[in-house]
Amino acid sequence: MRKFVAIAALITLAGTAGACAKMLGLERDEQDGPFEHRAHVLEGINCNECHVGIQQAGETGPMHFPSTADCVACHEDPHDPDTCSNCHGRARNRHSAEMARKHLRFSHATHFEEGAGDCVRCHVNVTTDSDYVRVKHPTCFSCHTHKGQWDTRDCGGCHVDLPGEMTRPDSHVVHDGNFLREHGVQASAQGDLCTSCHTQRQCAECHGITVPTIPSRLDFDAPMRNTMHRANFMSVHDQQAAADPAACVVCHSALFCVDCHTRLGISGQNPSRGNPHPPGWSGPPGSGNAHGEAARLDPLSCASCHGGAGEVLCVSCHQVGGPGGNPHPQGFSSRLSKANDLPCRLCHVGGQ
Amino acid sequence: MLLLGPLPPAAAQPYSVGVEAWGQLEPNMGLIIVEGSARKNPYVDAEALIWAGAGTPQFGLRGNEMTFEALVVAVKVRDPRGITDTRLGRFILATGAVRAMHVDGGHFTLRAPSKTHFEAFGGVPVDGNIDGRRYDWVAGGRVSQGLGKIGMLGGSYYNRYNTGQRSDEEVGADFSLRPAHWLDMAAKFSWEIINPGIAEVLATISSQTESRNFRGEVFVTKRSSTRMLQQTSLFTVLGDPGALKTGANLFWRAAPRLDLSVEGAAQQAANDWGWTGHLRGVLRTDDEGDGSVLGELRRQDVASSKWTGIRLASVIKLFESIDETVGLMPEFELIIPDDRKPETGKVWPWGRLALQWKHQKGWALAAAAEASSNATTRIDVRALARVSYQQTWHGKE
Repeated sequence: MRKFVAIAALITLAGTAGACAKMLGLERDEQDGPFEHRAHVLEGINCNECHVGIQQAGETGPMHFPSTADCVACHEDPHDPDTCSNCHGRARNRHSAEMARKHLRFSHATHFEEGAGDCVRCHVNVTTDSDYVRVKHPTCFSCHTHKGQWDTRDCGGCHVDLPGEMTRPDSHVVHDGNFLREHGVQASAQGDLCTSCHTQRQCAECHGITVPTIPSRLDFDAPMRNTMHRANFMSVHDQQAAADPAACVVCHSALFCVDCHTRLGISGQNPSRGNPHPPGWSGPPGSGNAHGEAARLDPLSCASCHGGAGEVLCVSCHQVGGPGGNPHPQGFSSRLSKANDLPCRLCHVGGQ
Repeated sequence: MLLLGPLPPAAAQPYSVGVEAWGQLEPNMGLIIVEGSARKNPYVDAEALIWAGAGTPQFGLRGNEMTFEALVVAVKVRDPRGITDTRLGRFILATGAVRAMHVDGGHFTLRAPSKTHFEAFGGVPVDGNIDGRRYDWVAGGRVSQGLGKIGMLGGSYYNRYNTGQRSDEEVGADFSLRPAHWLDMAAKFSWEIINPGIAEVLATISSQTESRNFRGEVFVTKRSSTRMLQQTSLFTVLGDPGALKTGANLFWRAAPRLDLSVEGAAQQAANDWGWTGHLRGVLRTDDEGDGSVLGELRRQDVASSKWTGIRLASVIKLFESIDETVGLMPEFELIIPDDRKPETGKVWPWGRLALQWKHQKGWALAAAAEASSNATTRIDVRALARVSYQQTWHGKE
């Protein structure tokens, strides 16, 4: 009995491990492997024998993938009556090549002449078992320096529509990590590099003041997208603001909170809502007066209800001679004009 | 001499147009979004996104009255050899240490052969119909120098006025360096002149292995909200608690279809130190990543913000053919606040189930049902729907 249980357990474990390996991509499905380019290269088969007519291919036109008829011309006794490309070679790689044809200004004919018919000179990966046989940037740059185009961010010589191409550079470190936090600092120095692929609309859907609604609500069918305000952001927005008020201020003005709260009827300007502050929140000097410390620690919380009106509200008490006294902390300095600039002029009438 | 250089080849250019209708029930809201772009490469790029909407008042919408607004209307004119770029219209201005700003204005760039770039910008910040902030203007510039193949170093300045008064004046410095293919570093620093002090510091250093299976990053951010607010606000004279956050993260591609990441950071807020962190795993259900499952555990313990969150999301391919796909997108999040009170609820769950159909010809339909409960709303149920069409002419067909 024990032996039976042990064998059953081993079979279950092996089955689970096998299933997990497949699920994790550790074990490849035999029917979804890369095309056996290397084997054909080692046999000394010329690329043109399968990719018939590629040497005349220009920027447009049909792809030059071999058909089943091309395969059976050599493999006379196929092991399966189905279309060869159903199993040999990945559909995504063929799709990738079709996308390249669509998005690149590239002529095989021109390169064929320059390269004296040596395809492997550019398609170096066909000599390995690699899944990826498209040519990478460094290979292009080994002949075409493109230094001037790189310096002036002019990719249009080869890429028809880089923003619409939706491809990501293979070595693009910026997108690999916590993009949401990193992209701002990475883009700061080389913003024009970003704009060679990204449109203004992509920036504006998060940074735009006039966005109709936040991206996670508009694109509600893209749950994997990492956005600053996820769809459930409203549940924790006050907590997030308390933890890092300055992060809000990067995009939102002090009036943003009060503008929304006023519209929703939850600001200090809605008398029916009542006073949200606890007893002892504000009072004469010497009383509990918790509001002062709270305002210094988290001014945005005050601004979320009092907003621009707060400037007047605070100054009604906090002025020299007023019950709140001088509002400036020790060592305060400012280059604002006392006489002309807000909020200084509210107290410093005539620059006093 | 530069003017005598060869011109890029002329060719047919890409154009795209898109239209989208988006609606939400309870609270009711409707939007129509029209967008388009055209490129006469390399001379002119133009793009626009304009929307109209009506419904429950929120930021941008004024109630049941139809509101029209432009998010982007911009034209970029480029010298054929890339020596100058000029962008005009409504766009997001972000360069160097100047924080992203939505403006109606212009941005000019001149690239000298020595890899020195000169930028000048100016305009009227978009106010989004907020009352009381009118007749703003902003102007500034940036000078940057390319450092061979490894990066860029720059310095910037901008000045912003509000109703005729100085509201922000900042100088800044920024750099981005990639001294080795495995090492990346970038930083920006801005200093407020009117209320002297650091406004913002962001720095990051990251490194990854050749296989890109491991990636690590250390970062620091410091922001002073009172210096970043417009100086015409009284809140800027209340002192500056600042907000410093420093931490690290690690990414590990544990298997070809499995990504794991962890991030932890110490964070200062309200003069106290706290911490925040998360663990995240993404499992792709196919090699292309069209289907995936995400699990995330998050903890925040900073100042009065103390909560634990669990998030699960998935994209499930229900049907796929050459022309069309159908997918199901369930999403669930649970927030457990440390301070659990009966009046605010002990847990705040949120969930959404979306169904999407996409056709290769550019059509897409999506619908979703969403339900949540949080500190202020006991139960909130809403429905969402979207129909969109996008047509692109790539210019080569």
